[in-house]
Amino acid sequence: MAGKNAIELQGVSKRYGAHANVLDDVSLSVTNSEFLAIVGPSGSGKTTLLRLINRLAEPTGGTIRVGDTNVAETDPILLRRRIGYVFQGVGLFPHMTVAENIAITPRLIGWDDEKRAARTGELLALVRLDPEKYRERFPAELSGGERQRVGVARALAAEPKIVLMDEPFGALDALTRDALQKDYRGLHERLSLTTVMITHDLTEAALLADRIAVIHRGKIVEQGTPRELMTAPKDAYVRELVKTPKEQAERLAALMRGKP
Amino acid sequence: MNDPRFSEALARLPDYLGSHVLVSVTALVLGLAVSLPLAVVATRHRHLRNLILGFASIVQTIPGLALLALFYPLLLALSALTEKIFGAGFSALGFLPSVLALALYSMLPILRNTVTGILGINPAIKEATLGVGMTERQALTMVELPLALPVIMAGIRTAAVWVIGTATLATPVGQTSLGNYIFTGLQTQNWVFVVFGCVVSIAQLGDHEGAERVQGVGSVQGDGGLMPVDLVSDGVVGLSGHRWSLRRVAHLSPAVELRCASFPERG
Repeated sequence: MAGKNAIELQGVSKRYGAHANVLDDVSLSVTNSEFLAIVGPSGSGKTTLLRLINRLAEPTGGTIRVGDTNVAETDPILLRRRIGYVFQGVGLFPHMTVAENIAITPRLIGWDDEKRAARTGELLALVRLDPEKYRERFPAELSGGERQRVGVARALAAEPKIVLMDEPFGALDALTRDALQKDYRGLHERLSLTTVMITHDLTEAALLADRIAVIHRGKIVEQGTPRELMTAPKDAYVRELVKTPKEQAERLAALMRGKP
Repeated sequence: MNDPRFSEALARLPDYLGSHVLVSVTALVLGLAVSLPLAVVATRHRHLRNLILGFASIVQTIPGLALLALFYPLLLALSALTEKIFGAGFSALGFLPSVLALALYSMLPILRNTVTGILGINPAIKEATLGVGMTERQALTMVELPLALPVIMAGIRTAAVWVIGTATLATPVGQTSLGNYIFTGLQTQNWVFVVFGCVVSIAQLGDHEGAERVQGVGSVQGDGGLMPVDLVSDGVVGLSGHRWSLRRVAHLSPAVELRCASFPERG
């Protein structure tokens, strides 16, 4: 089993000070090449869960494994360098060009200039930005969608097998968002990545992910394929969550059939 | 202009100006060498931050002349002590007390601006430094210091203005400076000397004043509330090397939120 799961959480809990548990006895596994979406409202602990995986935060209890290693026993710096991370606020370095931003992790692990330049060009093409046009630009000269494409390219730069994404497409307009979602899903398959994406948007999760885990008040309340969750939700909160997108889809379908 | 007092004043200029610049630059370099690492430590530990900034603020409230004078008895005592232990003392007058007092005097603006500059960096960017796998040191040198640089440079410039101005007061503790014109002139009622000293001192500050006119007083939202910080003029940023082209700096605005006020700051 050890080789099959890319990420495995067992009985993980997280508490800040004397407050109630942010995460309470969470067990979750992500198999190789799987696209898992973690859906939950704000304050549900979903970002904390993601940060635990690359040790941006430390669990209060439980164990987390990435590949064959227990993350508590790995150097957090080296761990982060082999996991791609796409941030909610993008987090590009404003004083570095697009090329410098993308090549940051390769630079940290000591790739030479030539290899970095080649990789940057390759990645820009991969996220559908013209390398010649964008290489020397600064983040402030990009649109929101372009910035997030660069953010994805930066996460992929050091050829990670695992990518963590924290509400990556949240702040984008609908069209840009859709284009980026489709492009990322394509990359996920082409590079056979293992992706864990955090989102509060069930529709986004259902359209992108292979499997969805719903988190509510620090607990995983239900997990399953998008189809299972959309058609036969068991948990009360999940039923509530599923209702709105389903109704909207039905209303839209009715609209297109021409009925009021 | 044919006044002999004027030509005498002119003849002393290389000595006075040279000494003045030497003591100012030495004090500023020493102040920087101490303040920058202290400021970095202060950004990492909240309690030390209050302690360090508090100490620098107290030093700043001591009048320049008093601070300079204070170092004379201090060093005298220290010299007596080393004489007893090592058999050799040092001069408690002149260069040493001046450099130490002026260095201390330069610390507050450098400390304050470095701390504010680093703490003012967008938390998302700080998080990203860790997320891409930087060590603390790499985050500091590759991201935090470069992003805080404009604010740090403004602090260094304020410190320079304060030090160069206060260095005229180093004359009474035995350090030759442009203050020699003023103090000698006052004692001998040589008004040409007094005026000459004032004019040269002001002219020397001129370089900095010119730069200062471009800046206003801003404030940066740091975690300790609003702190006053000089806005940055492009001239000084340009000094810091080719990697800091204006184009690069032009993109720094999201890192620190600067708010303009309409009056210029005087050191």
